[in-house]
Amino acid sequence: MARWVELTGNASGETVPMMTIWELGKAWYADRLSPDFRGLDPARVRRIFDQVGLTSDFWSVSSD
Amino acid sequence: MARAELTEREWAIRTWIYAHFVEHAVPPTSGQIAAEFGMTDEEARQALRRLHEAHTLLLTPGTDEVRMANPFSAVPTPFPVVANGRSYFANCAWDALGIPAMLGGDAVIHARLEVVDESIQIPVVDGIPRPASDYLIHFAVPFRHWYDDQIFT
Repeated sequence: MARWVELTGNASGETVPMMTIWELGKAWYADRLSPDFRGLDPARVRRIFDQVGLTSDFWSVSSD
Repeated sequence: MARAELTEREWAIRTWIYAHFVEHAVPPTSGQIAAEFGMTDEEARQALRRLHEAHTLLLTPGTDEVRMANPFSAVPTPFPVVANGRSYFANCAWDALGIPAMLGGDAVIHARLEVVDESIQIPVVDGIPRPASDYLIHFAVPFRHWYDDQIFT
């Protein structure tokens, strides 16, 4: 991570283990191809983030 | 996350666009949508704009062409994914994982790490990336601002 900041000058944001994002992808896109898909509402997004452990303010679903 | 109310037909068009992406690795044109749904090209363009406004897909700015139907990208990116017997482009590192997560089956994720000028490959076998590596994925934009500028995000 220190090298990333050094190379990019980008210290903001969050860094997440790949396997966490794999689990996020499975939940996020689970029904994307279904004819019954009607979007992800904020409550469902919150549940998905909580399910995979993305609970910091960075992953807040509410607007500023 | 604000979302325009879509009609059932517009949702059906969304579903068909995704099916087209899965089958052909590219999105359909407005003309193809019009032919499939028995509508005029202008009606198809209007539907695409409504789907864009509802955040169900993203149009290339200033056009009625699909740029993103997440996790798919209509334009080449540093994140090609071979899955389902085809080669797709993902919008970002997360979507590179999202394509095999969505499609199921085996896949090979390619990623170009431009900052360090390296390429990596991550096979997905039996539903799991292997090896379950210690790669990290960086997110620059907080979730609440993802939809401010999706191409940057």
